[in-house]
Amino acid sequence: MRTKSPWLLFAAIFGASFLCWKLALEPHARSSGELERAPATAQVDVPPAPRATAPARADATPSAAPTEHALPPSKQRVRVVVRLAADASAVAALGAELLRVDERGREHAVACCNDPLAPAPVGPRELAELLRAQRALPEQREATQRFELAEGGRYAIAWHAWRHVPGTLTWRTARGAGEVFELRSPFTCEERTLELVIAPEQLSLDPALDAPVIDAVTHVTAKDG
Amino acid sequence: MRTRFSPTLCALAALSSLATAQVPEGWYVFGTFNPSAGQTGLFLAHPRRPGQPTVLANVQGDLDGTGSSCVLYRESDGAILAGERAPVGGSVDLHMIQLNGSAVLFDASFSLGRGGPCCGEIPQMALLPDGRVVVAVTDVDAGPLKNILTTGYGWQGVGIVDTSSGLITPIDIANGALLTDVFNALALAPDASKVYLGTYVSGTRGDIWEVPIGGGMATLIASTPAGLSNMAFEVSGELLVTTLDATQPLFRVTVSNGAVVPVPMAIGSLNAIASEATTGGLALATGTNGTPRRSIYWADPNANPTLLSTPGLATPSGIAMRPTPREIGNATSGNASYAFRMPNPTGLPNTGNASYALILDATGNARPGYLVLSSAALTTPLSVYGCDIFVDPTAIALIAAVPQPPVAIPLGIPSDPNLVGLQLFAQSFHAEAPTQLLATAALALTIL
Repeated sequence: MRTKSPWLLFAAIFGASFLCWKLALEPHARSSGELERAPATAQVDVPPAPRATAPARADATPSAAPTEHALPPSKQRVRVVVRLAADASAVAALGAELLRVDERGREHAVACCNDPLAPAPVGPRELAELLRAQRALPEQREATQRFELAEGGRYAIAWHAWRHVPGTLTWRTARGAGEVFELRSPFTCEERTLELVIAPEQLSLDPALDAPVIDAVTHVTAKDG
Repeated sequence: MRTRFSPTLCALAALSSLATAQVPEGWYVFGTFNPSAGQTGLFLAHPRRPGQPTVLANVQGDLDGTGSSCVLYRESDGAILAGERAPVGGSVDLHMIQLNGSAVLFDASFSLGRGGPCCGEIPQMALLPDGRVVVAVTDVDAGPLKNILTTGYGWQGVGIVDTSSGLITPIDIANGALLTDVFNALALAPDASKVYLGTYVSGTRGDIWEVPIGGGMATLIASTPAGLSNMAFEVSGELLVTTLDATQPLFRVTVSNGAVVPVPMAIGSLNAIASEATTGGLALATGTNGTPRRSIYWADPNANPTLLSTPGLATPSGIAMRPTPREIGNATSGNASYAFRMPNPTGLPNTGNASYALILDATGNARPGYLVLSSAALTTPLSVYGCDIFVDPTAIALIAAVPQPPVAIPLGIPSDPNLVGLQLFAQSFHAEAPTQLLATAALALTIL
């Protein structure tokens, strides 16, 4: 009899549920249907402004000076704050980033335990979630992200946000970065705060790049099928 | 043993929601470009039932102008990713699209550079496991991917786009000057360690280059006797490449040794291909020299094509599939482990597929068990004797005994249109010890 005990419990769970369902002839909520439901749309128009020409300004000042330790910590905690300038209009889903700049000047996103930008293992941020978040927090002027750095080197603060192209269903990504700075070891136990202020012109849309081209010129070549 | 759909299942069909917010499960999405040839934009097509594709309304940017050059479907957020064929001097954009029914709900787009005087576009792209997008971009006269000068198609480059932040990271090719002419196809190795770039050198030559995902030296691994138009890895790990030569449109390439074998196919030139991960079949689009031209096909795992439509649109240039069935949850394994076979050789769960079956495989000391079909799934599994149950026990449609795996569990699907859209969740349970149940992961399948 003992060998049948898992099946008895199994049968009890499924059998009872099945019978109840059949007798009641009652439709049940389907998780599948809920999953397929379209998210509600939410949009905020952001007035266009002139395109940015100046690079972002980095106020990358450590908030605490290194302290002496017999054994310095193996990781440096860093708090990155990006903030819109006072005269800049609010944006959707402002995010702070920290970029590692390699010897060839290429930028790589630094991953963090709870950083939605982390290349792995965190998955991509859903745009639907972004819009839900935006609906709840329509005015966003500042974002903070924490990182733990295992090595010194050249870094830059960066930011990203979404801008709505007026009169369309299109959102364009806006992003920028501050000046590259050197983070040297030995590390300190104190968390360093790095700040970047985003100027209004850096958030502007470019009609030549961010809007569709009406009466566009296009060519077809041999490779085009 | 043979299981047929019962009246209970037919009743469930009426209860299920047919409206889908994204690409319907199992369907194809494809894009067209070149407005002088017909309508440009994005379209949905049933993968087995011939018929006119569904036009996606309200596509944004240049997608309904100059058109779309490539598409992907991303399961993690249900987004359609569409690459643009850009206007001269316009931005070459990657679009991340959410749908409401068959209309665009919103579109978040990223500029990958400014198109040059010839033909700025994203010829093909691929998904990394974390959802970032590997892209090739051609004829860009500015931007981070303006890296390699071609002979006749401007500047081109390869990179990775993080669609969360918009960060574009170039994949540097140290010997890029050796690459002859223009990228026209791209595929990512199944382990995501290498990018394969297919070029259109001329009508009688195409090259396939291998580049590490982190950048480095490009290695020429194979050449074909026709210019390439698209590429896709089969589930087996072989690379299928399509060409614009109507007499030899498809080749199978073994990337480990560069072997190139023609695959017989008499439907003329091919301009788009995608592998059906759940069946081992193919989604195909013919080019201007196709038979018929600019048509949508599906093909079985032996590359036997079946025409779905000749919609009279502009040139189809990219095709993708939203897969079904898909695995949800996790298996519970012990001395044996159980899994539903994927790709499934009996095809898709479409109405009229009388031979459809779930194939249950096992390793180790496999035992008979029970298959449970439910009309709902649990978001948090129920734990019984150490086994994670993902099918909802309050919505059971069928319980059937299954013999010792490997075994085919027939689920022949009648030609009843009322079944279309019905979603079912399957999980198989097997006793290993008096107090230990083992199980497959659950399988979510939608009847097409």
